[in-house]
Amino acid sequence: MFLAVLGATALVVGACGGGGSTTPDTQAVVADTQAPVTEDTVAALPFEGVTLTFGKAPHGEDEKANWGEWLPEFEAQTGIKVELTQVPWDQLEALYTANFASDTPYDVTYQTSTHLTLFGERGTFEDLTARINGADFAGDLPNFPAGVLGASTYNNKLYGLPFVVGTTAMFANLDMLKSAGVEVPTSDVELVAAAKAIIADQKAKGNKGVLGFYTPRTVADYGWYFTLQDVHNRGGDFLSADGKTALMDSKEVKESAQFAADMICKDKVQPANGLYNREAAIELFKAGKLAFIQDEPSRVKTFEEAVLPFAWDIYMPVGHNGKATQFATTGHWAISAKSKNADAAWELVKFLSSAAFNSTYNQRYGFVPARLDADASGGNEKLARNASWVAVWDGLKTSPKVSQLLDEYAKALEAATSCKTSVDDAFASAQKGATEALAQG
Amino acid sequence: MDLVEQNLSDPDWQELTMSDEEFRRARSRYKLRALVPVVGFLGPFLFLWSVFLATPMVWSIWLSFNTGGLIDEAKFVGLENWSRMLSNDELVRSLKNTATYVVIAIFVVFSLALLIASLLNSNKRGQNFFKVALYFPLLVPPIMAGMIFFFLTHYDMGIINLVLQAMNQEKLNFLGDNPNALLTIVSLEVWRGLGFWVLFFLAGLQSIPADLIDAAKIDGAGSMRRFRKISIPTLRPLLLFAVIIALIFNFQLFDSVQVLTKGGPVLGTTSVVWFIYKRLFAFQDIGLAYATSVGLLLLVVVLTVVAYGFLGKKSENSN
Repeated sequence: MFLAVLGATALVVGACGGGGSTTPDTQAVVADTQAPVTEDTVAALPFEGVTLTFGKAPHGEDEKANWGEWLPEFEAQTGIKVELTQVPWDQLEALYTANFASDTPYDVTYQTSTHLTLFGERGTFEDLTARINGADFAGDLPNFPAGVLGASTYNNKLYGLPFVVGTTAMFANLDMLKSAGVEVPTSDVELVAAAKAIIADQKAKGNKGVLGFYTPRTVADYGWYFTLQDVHNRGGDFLSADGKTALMDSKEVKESAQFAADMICKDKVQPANGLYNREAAIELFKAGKLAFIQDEPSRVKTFEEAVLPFAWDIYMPVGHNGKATQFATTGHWAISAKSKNADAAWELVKFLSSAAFNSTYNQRYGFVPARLDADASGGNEKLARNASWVAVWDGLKTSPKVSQLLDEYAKALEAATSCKTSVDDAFASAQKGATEALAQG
Repeated sequence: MDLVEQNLSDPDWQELTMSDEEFRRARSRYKLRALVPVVGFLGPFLFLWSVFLATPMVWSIWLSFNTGGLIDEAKFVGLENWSRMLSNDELVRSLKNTATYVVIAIFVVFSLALLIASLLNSNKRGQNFFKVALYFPLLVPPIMAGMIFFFLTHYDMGIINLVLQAMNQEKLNFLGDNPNALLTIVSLEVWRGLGFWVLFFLAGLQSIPADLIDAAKIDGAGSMRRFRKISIPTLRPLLLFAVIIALIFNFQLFDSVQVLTKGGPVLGTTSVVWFIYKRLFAFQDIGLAYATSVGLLLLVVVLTVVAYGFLGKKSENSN
């Protein structure tokens, strides 16, 4: 009840205008007027005097500062003032719920596939189908791969324009591989063998604390995000193609979970859940205590800036029986259905989705642009390779229940990799939960 | 002729008396004047109470019989949310975890608080220092407290595992294993709450009349006997209040779960409020979230009544 009262109070406050642009961490990114602005040019600006509120969860600690450099160009071109609010990832759902329930929600927000239709199907976002088929977007639309647009479309409605597609990469300590005399693994079986060989080699050299492999398998660290490509590599999925039937107890789902569990419980090449969380594992890799780590490509810049004391590179996460795919979510720009400046918001979305901005943003944060004419590598060979993996991208299809279904999957994966619950029991429970969730409608 | 009759027959006095109509008006004016401070003092509270508590509470009860209602329109579904709530396995698990946590946390924190309060009460030296030191954790924001425990229990760098390692003992997986994770959360909350309860019980102990203690001493009662026979019965009304407050607060376990475990491992630390939070915000299952919220309120009310019935009667008897 406390939470209900708190939630209801937040909504009351939100409805009174608190959800808009006046929260303490809201920072107006004021236009840098370095460009010469004359009375003529001011009069020509199409949206002079319009202020847009813009909500986004950050992909890096420096993102707020970067927006201060990126937005003035748009503001100078259009006369629109953009007020950015950084929404913390761990409070995102609660803050967005309060904001969207108010009369003044953010005009434009960044939404991942897990939330796009969760909120969109409740009337929160404008369906952008008509806008992307408009004349002002005709030159841009062909650059968006049909597969990416398809994964972001639900019931023929596109609630957000795809901006980035996520990927995951396997980072390898090449010095350890060389020392153990093993090649970079490309399959799950090779990965286990390579990790075992490296642990044995390091142990023989007196480095007892070295671990073979790490990728998150827990709910807290979004284990599903780093594991579902294993299900796709086996030709399965956790949900049927029509989105109506849960497949949590399917052969492919259980086999991939068994592989993940064996790495921890049987092969002992990955530390037990809870010993190291995702960030701690990153530190282990940086300290040369971990041979392989599967994480997001945004770590490329982190590792390059940290100048790791060993040779390293990134590779596709290992495949299964010759099939290797990429799984992740998609990031979108969504326009609020309640926005009083929807046309100005569309201008901002077009700017944010442009090839130029997409390249700038992703050269910093390492995601793969959702459009083919953007170059996110910035000459970085590792990031260029990462971008090329979009060819085998088989990412999450958005649907209103997908968050809840992924939670069921993640709980089962965590249970299965705890070494205390069988894969069959864990995923039978997930199937029950997912079926109930889907039946709820 | 008595004094009153003398006064009434006095023409001056008769001028001061009022007609019935005048009296009624004067009485109304008087009542109104008396009402002004009442409304003035209670009004702001009643306004805030109705806006921030009564209205959300009534609204919550209404939403527990609907789907949606926050972002989209509410749709009445009768008892469907309540029926789903009663058959939800994860909620059963959350309730078990929360009940386990509440029992252990209240028992541990009250036992320690009573012990420390008694020691402080009998030892005045350095009392203020210990009061501040014990109260300090309560001033630490919950997220920071979570981070402190995260590093305290870290597998490689945590002080506890470093000590275990130095003693040639096996290191513990505090946050990745059950029941370690729940016990870690209990420890965190006990650490945070201990100072408050020590001061609370210390105030109670200091209010016990010294004559009673002295008389018991003269009669030859030892310190344990004095504690059992004088301190505890005298503190019983305070204990009743403490138990009720502790029940209400501890059933709302959320912060440390959010910071340390996110309900894991394997639902080992998922609490009722964590369950509600996920349904309400992450899944937008508004009806189930509100039904569970109202259910939690009813549960806490029932437990409060039971606690009052149990401890309240004993306090009356002891008085």
